[in-house]
Amino acid sequence: MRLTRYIVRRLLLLIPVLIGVSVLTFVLIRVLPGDPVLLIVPETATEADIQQARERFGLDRPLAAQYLAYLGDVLRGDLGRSITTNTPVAEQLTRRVPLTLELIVYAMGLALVIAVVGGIYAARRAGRPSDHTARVAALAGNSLPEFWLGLVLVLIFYQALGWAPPPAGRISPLFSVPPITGFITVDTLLQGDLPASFSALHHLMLPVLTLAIVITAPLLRSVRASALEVIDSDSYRCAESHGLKDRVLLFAYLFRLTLIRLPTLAALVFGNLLGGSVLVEYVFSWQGLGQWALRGLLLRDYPVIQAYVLVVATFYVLVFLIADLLQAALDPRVEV
Amino acid sequence: MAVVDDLTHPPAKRVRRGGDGLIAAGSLILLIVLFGAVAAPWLSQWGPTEIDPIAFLEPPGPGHWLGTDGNGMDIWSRILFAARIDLGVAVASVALAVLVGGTIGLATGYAGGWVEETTMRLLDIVQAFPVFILALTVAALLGNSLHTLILAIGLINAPAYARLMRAEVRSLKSHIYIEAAECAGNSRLSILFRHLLPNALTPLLVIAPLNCGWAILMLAGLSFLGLGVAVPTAEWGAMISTGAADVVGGRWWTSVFPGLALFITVLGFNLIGEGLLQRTGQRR
Amino acid sequence: MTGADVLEISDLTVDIDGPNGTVRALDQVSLSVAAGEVFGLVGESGGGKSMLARSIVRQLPGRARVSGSVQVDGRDVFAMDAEALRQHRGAGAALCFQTPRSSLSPARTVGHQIVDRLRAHAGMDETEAWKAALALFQQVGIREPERRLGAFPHEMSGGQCQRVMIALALACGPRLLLADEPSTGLDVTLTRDILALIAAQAGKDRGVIVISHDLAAIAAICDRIGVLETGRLVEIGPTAQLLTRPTHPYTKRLVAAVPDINRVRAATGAPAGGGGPLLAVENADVVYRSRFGRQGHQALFDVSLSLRKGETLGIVGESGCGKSTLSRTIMGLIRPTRGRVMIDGIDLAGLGRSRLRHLRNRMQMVFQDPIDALNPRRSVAQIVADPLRLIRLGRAEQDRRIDAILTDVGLGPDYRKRRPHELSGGQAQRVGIARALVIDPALVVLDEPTSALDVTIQAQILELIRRLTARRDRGYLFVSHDLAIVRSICDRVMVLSEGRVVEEGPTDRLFEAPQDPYTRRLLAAVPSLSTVSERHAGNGG
Repeated sequence: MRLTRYIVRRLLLLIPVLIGVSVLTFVLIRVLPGDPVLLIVPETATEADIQQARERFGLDRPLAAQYLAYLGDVLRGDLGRSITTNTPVAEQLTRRVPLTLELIVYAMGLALVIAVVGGIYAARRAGRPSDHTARVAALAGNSLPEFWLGLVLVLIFYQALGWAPPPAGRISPLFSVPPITGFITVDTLLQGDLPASFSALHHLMLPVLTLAIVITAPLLRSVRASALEVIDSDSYRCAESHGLKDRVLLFAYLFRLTLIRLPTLAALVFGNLLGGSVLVEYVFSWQGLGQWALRGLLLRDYPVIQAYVLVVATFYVLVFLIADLLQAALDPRVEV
Repeated sequence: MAVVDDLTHPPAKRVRRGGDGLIAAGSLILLIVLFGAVAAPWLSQWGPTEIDPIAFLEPPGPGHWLGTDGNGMDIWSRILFAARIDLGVAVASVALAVLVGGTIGLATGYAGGWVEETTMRLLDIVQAFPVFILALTVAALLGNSLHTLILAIGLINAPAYARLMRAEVRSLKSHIYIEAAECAGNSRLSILFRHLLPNALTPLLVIAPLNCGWAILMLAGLSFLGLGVAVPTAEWGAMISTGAADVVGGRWWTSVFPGLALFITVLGFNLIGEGLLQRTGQRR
Repeated sequence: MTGADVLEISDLTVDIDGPNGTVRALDQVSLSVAAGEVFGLVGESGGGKSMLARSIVRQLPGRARVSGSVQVDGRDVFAMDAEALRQHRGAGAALCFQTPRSSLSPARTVGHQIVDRLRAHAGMDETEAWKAALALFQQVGIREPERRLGAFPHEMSGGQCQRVMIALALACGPRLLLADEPSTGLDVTLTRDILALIAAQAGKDRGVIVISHDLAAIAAICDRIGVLETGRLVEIGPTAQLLTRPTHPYTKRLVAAVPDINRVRAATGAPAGGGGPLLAVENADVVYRSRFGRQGHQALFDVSLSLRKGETLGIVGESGCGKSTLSRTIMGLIRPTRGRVMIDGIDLAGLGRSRLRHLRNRMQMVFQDPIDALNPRRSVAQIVADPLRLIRLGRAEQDRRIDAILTDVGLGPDYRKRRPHELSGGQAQRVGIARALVIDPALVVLDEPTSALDVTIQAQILELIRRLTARRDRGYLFVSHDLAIVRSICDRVMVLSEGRVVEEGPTDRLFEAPQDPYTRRLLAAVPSLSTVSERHAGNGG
């Protein structure tokens, strides 16, 4: 199977990237000023206590030895224990990942729908008022700081209008939802608890909207530009000059060709969203991956930072792999 | 135009593509912001870190046009002074990124072969790194100052320029005038600097304004998380962060105004960038 | 033979508003085409040919203003409502776009593209449409039609794509078939087949218009020809009459500019003999290695040639025969995998980068794409001065040389400050020639120097080249796909096919008594105005 071989080859290419990323993280955070051990031992600790704590986390060994031990652990599926909370990193990770993913998947979905529909609509009306409106909106959206936008939305929809819940938590405290998948909108539905489901969506509303507004801009512009390029191409003009029906023209000759270049950009946006979700999480007190990593970074919690970078890098590479597969599926000229 | 005799053919006119309006609007915005930054001491009666002991969290009014923050500092004054830092860091970091990234891209794109392959894989690794972690580690490594922020933001941006430059050089290499230059007896260095570089530089400079906007957002974002410019130095992101807690209490002016300044400035850069893209025919 | 008029254009004027003012693309054009007729529309780039075609299907740029009328089957195209226009596009007039490979939709199989058209115009259901598509593929001569229906455009050759394009237009069942530059990018033999296929579509219900810049190519199939010059239809008439007794000055110039293979070169004296060969290629193989060390593509097989001072050697062949590889190998841009290239007896392979660079004052090259061969950011003076850095002249001497060579190629010192985008194609090629000659090389390689130019411009550049070669002071290698041009310029000719030399000999001998069957086939496919006009006259047309 050519496709399987391609996917395997791409996954093998993931290995050097992950090794490079982990080495870089490992070295960078250890040359950072600040010693995690000093942050966790009590103030009365003696030199010997500190030394003991250091040994417990293996921090007394040479850097190369520490890295190899770490690599061995990771290969066995052990991401280590957090220095500050002394809980397994993997456990925290499985709790945090769904929170962030839920946020960015909804935002991405919303943004893609708006971008594709709006971009093609604008391109077909190039130069007319509706097109100009779309372009100005995209330009403005591209200039918005998402953390400020989040605050402004809170100000309007929570403070002034009272339509949104307070920016804290992912569901009203009245509901208790035992985690099944970790995705709260899914879990509430699985339990058939519709009011809880509604509450979860209600809490997702503003953060998702904030992210969606910011990321729609580049996607919309790209879709509009691709659609314009198709409309101006000889292949589309030829189909049009042969009097094809509007629906056929739109779906078979415009839509698909416009989408060919979308996966790569969408992957880039999606990847950056995971690494950059921290700002919006911060504004909405969303206990996701970004906040977790930020805290880990401030407290120099090495295993947490290492795990975070590894997860984000893997995700990044996988998203691009999926994008390339999608593109190959859309464009017969691309060989996988 | 059918040419009767190619020797009497008049010089062709340069094709205009529009985008001038966007560039003018963006330039106007940035000129105003720049004027505010330069003339800050004369435009405000308060210093950027001066505390008015009788006005904490005062709403906009005659004494403090845009109100004061929780420390009793004048927001209008701080917004003006912050422009100095935000504009300065943005322009300097993008200049650094163009210089470093451009050089790497030019060298690898022209060299080709394993040099190119290796460099590109290294850039893959850097780009798969979460941006905030990278910025923070660089900043923390070299001390928390404006210079390190410039360095951090510049270096994060450099791989993108390296890729762009490399792509540009590779596509230029397929032009016949590069082959013609070799036939004319140019040395490799001469081809690189006389024929490739001047043509490859334009696209890099065209996206620079867009990147300045992005760099400001980056700086403000870092400061918002407390990882950038240290309080009480006036910086838009840091100001929004200070005011964030007050928003829920209804004191909106502390973060809304600095955010507006940030938004408008980035919009100015983006307008120019978009206009330049249109003018060079890369976008319509 | 011909029936009622299918197309009736009267006083059609099209103005396009642009940023630099209004351009009149078409100026009071009137013509009619009858069923069963093949009408040729000829003119150079910018003449308005494509604009005329696009007016007929009412597919003009947004800022176009139109007056006059276009009637197909008696219905005014510019008065139609949206649905009537959709019906008209395709069923009324169907256009075969130029460069079919990029005009076919890239992500849809060609079979689906045909079925889309059949369903839009013939009202067929899915099954009927696929059957009809297969029949159309057979009709236009596509081999293995069943398999080809499932292919994507990028999987097909240029000739195949052109056939598919014709099938697409025919699928609409048009009253008028329009073919825009159907021979672009095709070799002579293929061009002839495609044009014959298009001409065969004229019938009792259908008229055909063929648009081309190449008068010689389409003259053989056209009943009547119209000539467009900057938007005006300056002359229109039966083919034979237009070719033999053109009345308008532009038509006269156009007819005269067409290279004619039967026109023999004026004698220019024998090449100066004596001395060893200036250029010698001995048993050269060139293999393009693919990555990962797999079997590469071999572009040249055992090619040998020699050239003396004062001599002009022509290299001809169809696209992909290895002409360009050969000229690049001679210039030292590609190293032969086997064999040698020697200039003045010096083997290029034995030279280091720096020595090879300094040998470049002995050999220079003129390129096919005149505009792209000039660095867009440099002035004409800087471009021409480029090779002079090899010999370090004083400032004044350098300027004197540049002015002299610019004058020699017909431009003059006024052009020094112009940039490439301010030059027309012909002017750009003169600058390219000036750059090649400024250092006074012993060998000049001209790689398809006129194939990107309009025919009247081509005639002027060829005149310049003839003047230069007649001086007999250098060796010239003239690479071209156009046999008629080669005949009018070269002393000796070498025919390349699929990377091998098929035949070589003195020009007159080779053209009058070709030995190799491939050469004979090539010569037979070359269109010639003189034979065409004789044939048309013989038919009483």
